[in-house]
Amino acid sequence: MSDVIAALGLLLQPATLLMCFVGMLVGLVLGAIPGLAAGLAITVMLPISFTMEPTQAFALLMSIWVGGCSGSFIGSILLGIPGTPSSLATTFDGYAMTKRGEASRALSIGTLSNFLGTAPSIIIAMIACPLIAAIAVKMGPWEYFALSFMAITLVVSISKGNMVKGFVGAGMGLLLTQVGYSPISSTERFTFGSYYLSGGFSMSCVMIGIFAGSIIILNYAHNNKGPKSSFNGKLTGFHIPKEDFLTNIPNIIRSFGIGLGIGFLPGMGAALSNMVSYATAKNSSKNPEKFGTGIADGIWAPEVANNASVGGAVIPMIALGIPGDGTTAMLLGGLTIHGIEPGPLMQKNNPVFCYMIFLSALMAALLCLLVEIFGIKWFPKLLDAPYHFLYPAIMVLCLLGVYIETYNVASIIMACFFIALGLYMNYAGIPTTPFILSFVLGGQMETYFRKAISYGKGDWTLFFTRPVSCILLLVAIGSVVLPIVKEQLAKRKAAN
Amino acid sequence: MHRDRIVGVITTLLGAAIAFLTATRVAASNMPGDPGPRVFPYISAGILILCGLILAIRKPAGEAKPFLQGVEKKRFLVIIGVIIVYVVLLWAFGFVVPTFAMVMLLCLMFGKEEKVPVWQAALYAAIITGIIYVAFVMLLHLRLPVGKLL
Repeated sequence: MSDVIAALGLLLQPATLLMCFVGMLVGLVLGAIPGLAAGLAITVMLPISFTMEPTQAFALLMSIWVGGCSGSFIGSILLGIPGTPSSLATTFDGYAMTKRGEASRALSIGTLSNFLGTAPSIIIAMIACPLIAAIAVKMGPWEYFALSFMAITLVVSISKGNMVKGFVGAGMGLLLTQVGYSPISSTERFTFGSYYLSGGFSMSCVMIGIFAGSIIILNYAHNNKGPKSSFNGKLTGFHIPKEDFLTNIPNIIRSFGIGLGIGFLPGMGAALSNMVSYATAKNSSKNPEKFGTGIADGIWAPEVANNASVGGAVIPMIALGIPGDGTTAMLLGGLTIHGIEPGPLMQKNNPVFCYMIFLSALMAALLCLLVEIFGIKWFPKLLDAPYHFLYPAIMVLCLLGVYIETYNVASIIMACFFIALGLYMNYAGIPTTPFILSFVLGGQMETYFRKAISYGKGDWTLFFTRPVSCILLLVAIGSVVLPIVKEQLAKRKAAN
Repeated sequence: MHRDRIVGVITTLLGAAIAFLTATRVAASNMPGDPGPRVFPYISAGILILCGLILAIRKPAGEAKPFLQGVEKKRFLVIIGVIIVYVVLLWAFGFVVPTFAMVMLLCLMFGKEEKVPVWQAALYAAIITGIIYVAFVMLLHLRLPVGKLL
């Protein structure tokens, strides 16, 4: 409890509160604009946050994440175009409600749903993380290797349409972690005698290249400027009819559970949870035919679920050091930049800092609620994003951000290499999430693997004779094999 | 050739190059019981070769959508060129002038259809350059490129 109070003391410092507010606002704006996302803001801020106090840096990064998850519903409701895929299902009923002239009601439901999803899920994460970490510290390198391996295969297995390309992405990410000195034996690998490569590739260079630089270049090439706000209706302010809330309490609780659970699984997250909870709400409804016509149930379900996924994703990130998606991978990278080793020992070694992460997310959720309640009338303005102003600033900030890591233009050249790699991956259709996850986990995976073999005196079978490791590896293998078997069976069925 | 096949060939060649470099350039471990620093590069190479071969050999699913079409190719090359020139100028002349020029140019490029006036782009570039300088140098006490030729 004293750790929580100490963390609260840190959070309530004016500079930290300011970071929470600024981060939440940046995330909210970028999350609302279709084509941009909070992940982009985290990418830009990652190298800059290096110069800040870790508590302030993480208050900023977590607030961007929370704000970004929250903001994406605005585009869904007002334009019928989600800011990010996490609010895709919200378009079905949210936009229908807007077309009926009830945009204020839809936005109000979305606003409250965001808070009801995020805040309790963070509180649950706050309680669950120390418990899970206490169990996780008892695990050996066999289990950690298996856990990291499972996280990557789960992400690969849901690679859109092409698992082989998912594996190519994972292989490339893994390969890039091997540039520089190897763990344990400090053997030089793939540096080609270059001083600049001996330290390996920095997280910021990779993130900026893959996520920001290449996206801006392609948006310019394709002349993508996002939709202009076509909303001409009148917004009256925050108001939710009592029955909209009371009749949806079971729906809210169910959607919260779905979001929390899906958020916990690597590779799933908000983009999946909003669809699953919408489908579940529809299937459990007495009036499923009304879904899609603009009913409150169809907004509560996806918006509570996608925001509950935040808390779900925080649990493996803090308790196990396993990222669930690109954004959590960046946050984990941020921890490494600040010299904090993610994983179960983090909770033990830095309890105040861990609670500070949770509390800053809670604070961001609260600030988000207040800003959305009082700023509801300005939501349409957010969607008229001046891309010609945003993109140049982001591009310059990205390149200067990587410069300040080393004070060397070589870092910018490295970032340019990753921009080129990002463009190639886009051309080749290689998904970025397996790549990033492998890049984040690759180094520690190799350490765990080599330690496991060394501790077992060369005995590889220990990976399968230790129960937890065996279960995790079986899940990993199953996640890859089962979709292939299913596909083959479906093909045979279709042929017969 | 279908794009998947091209990607397959590139991936296979990359995997083969990594396997070759690992065998010839990475020292084996002399620690007893340690599988050594070659194992993971070999695993990466194995994944890339196997997946590359699958992509190169299997029948591609449908026609690939063109990556860039017509004028998009020109726009793509222009923005790549602008970024390369910016990096060179940053190295040569430091932060202030190249950043101002880069933001202004990108602003005009992205805002071509909106017909963003030059004065507006210049004002915006000056504001952004100023904000970055104040935030990085004065508030965060960081250094920005000063230029090798100045």
